[in-house]
Amino acid sequence: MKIWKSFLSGIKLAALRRHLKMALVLWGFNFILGLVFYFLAADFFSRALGNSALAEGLQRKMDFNVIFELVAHHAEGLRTLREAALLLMALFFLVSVFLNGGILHIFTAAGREPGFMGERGRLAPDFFQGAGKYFGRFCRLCLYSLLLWVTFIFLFLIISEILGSLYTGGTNERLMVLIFIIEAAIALFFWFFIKMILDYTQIKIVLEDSRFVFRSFLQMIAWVLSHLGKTLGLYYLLLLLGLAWMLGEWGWEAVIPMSSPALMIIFFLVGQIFIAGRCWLRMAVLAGQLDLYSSR
Amino acid sequence: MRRPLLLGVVMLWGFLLLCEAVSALSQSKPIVVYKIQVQLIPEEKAVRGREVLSWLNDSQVPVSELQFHLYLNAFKNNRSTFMRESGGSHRGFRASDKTWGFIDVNRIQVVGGVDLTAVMEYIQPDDNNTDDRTVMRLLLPEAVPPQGKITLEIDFYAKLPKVFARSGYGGDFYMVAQWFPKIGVFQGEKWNCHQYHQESEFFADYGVYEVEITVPAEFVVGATGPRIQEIENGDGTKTYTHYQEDVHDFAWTACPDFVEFREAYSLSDPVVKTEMILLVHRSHLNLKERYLSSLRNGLEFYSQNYGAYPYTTVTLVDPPINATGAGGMEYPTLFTSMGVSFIPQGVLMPEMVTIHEFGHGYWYGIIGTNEFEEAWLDEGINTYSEMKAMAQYYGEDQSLINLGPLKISDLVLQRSRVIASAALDPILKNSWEFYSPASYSSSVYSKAGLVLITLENYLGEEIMARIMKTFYERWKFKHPRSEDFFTVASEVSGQDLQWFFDQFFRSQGQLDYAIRTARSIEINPPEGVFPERAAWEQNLPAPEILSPGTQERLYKTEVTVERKGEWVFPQNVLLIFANGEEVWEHWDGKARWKRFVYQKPFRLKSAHIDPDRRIVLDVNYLNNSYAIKSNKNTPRKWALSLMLKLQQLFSFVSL
Repeated sequence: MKIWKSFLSGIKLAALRRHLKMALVLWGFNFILGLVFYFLAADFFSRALGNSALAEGLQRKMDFNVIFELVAHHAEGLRTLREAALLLMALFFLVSVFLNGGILHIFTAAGREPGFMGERGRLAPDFFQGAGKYFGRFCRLCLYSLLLWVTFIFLFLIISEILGSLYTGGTNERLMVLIFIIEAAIALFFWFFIKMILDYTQIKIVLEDSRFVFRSFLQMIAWVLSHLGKTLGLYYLLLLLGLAWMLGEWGWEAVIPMSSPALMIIFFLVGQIFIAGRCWLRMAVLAGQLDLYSSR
Repeated sequence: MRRPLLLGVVMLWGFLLLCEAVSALSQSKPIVVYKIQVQLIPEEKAVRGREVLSWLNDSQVPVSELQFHLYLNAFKNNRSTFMRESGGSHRGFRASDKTWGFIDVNRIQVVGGVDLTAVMEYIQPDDNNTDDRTVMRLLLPEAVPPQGKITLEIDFYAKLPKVFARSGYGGDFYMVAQWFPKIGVFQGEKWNCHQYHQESEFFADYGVYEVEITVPAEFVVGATGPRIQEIENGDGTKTYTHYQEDVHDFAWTACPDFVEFREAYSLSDPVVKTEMILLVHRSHLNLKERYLSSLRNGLEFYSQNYGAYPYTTVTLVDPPINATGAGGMEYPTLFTSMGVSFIPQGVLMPEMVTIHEFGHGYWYGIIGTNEFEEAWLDEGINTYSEMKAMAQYYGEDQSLINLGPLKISDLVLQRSRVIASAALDPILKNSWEFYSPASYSSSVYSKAGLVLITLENYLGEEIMARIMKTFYERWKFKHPRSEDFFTVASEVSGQDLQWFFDQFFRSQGQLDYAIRTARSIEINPPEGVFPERAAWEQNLPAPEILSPGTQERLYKTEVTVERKGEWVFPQNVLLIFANGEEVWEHWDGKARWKRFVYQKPFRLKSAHIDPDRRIVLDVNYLNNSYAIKSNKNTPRKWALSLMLKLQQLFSFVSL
């Protein structure tokens, strides 16, 4: 029941009109960095396709002859695009570290002083103040989290080795596929588990305005492990919501062919709505977890 | 291995009868007659055998030495030529530690004559690597006269490697290939007997094989040729005897986990009657129908396009996943395919491998080309055949991948390998002398296949079909060289195609034609002071057809086509004007560029070189056309898609 309560409370908190602005900020950064990539990619494809008359047909139907030509003859440009994408991802990661501070600051302040927004009327100063305040601490948290990542990678490799030994040299392909699925599930579990621990550590740091990042980190590992059922239950409930959202997103992408400028605009707009939805979901995850931790 | 004397005598007697019986029914001139008894020793991962070989000196000169391939010695140590060249890796599969393979010749003796074991020596005709023992020379006490025969008895022991390159074992699966001392080819008054290289396959003379294979009774066996006898030995083993004429190699396989399926195949035009034998590993039973149907397609396609399948059996071997290195390989009347149980229906890899390897039954099996020296003759021609067969049976655009909107043809895949290669080697070259394995495979498989598709598009399908049929009929069960194919092509087409073959087979280069520039400029009506035309100018065309004061618009269109690659090929150029008018031009393609100029009342819309993509060797289709108004929507569409994917990733990697 507690899980449901936190789940609903998180959604409610994230859905408050004033909080939606934070989702917009998150989406805004996502969009700006995405737009940088758009211009780079559009320029690359424009130059690669040049005045080729094939370009018109490619809008309606994929021609793998051309795709392979792009890979073979424009490897340098593609490499630049890939590097730009990695750089933008790193930038967005930093942005998300920054914005998380703001989001949690607003959520916790709202919890402490329910009327504070109403009095001041403006969200932005508090939001960015919180973001700036916790940015350094969250950056340190990212560094400390490497310990957890390395541990889990090591653990994963051991598990993978053990599982692999079950079929190495054998001919049971079903077992091989099953083990692959298990390994993927374990990797995903680790990925989300660490992210969950980091979420709770951020919540603790903001809630208690703690400067002891490493101590908070260790405490939250212990706390999450001691409340494994609830924390995982809430996290996966929220993830399910995210999964449903993503399925809708993929379905939409598959349906819209982008074969005309009008369809491209529709694709773009709806795509951005889905991205904004993802940003909001991220806030809902933090809000739900904040509720669970606060009611401990 | 001790054998009773009586058995030896009976074997020799049987062998002599066999030599006599090698009948007028043979389609090839039998240079070799092998009778081999072999036993699989699973606990040693080895086979022990006795081989009686009769060899005919079909040359005009006496032969005083014999040369043999001992291919398994390629896996003897890390200093063999194969291991040095490959670094213990072949087509992505790696050699396992300490699972060396080798072949020891324990005794070699002229039947009824001297023991020659002591005079055996290893030679290295290709690279002088004295650590390589894949070619053995035997000096004879007496030369074999022209049209004379020599019969040898050879005892050998062959330890199989863990399979990563064609031959060997994986668990209980055994692919016993290149496993016995095999005599080279005496050709042009010398031995053609190359070492085993990383990038080369095999070459041997036609003849007759009768092989008795003894294995533990629980093993299911498949081998070259039909089974003529099956005996329970009463000691937990069984002996299977296979016999085949008109082949130049013999391979067999054994595994307790094979499930055997047999189905008769017949075709009325041309008449084909054969038996399809599938040895499908228990873990891949879901692939049975896919294998069977693609094998049927292969039999039909090759029989109808080249000649009736001449053998009474064809055996498809499906290796298990722990022996995938044995997959995708051809032997006479037997081949290995490749697949995994979870491969989606729309990924036509098992079909492609089946058709390709079956096709080698023609281009390698029946047309016995030298894979060491002219690998394109089997791999290139077979890739060409495979692309056509795949397109015929699985659809032009989706002959390799057919997964919903994702459709890729075999042709597109082969072309992708050519455009990605650096064109460092000509197609016609010794296999082991290519720059790299990638250069070898892109040249002799893909590029050679595309060259033949280009030739077909150049000459026409009907002429190409006649070329292929004539080449097949003229050279079946013989050893043609590249020149023989070129001769047939020129002869059948009635054209001197030497320029084509010299360029595409003997030189390295790329074919790339482009529309360099295309533009339409409006011609202004003449203004200003013009002198009277002189008398001598009166018969010349007017410089511009607009007369002063006209309202009609006129455009000068210039299209420049360019040859960017080294290779030359005649080109068709299509110009499409704004009113829909199409103008076709022909260019011999020899110069570096050519300009076409027009004056028309409409602007040019687009220009295309080789618009029908008949020249599949062209490495850049993008520059084959030029639209006056460039399309900006496709770059935007692709960029938008990527942007959205990146935005989705952002949310995944965020803290």
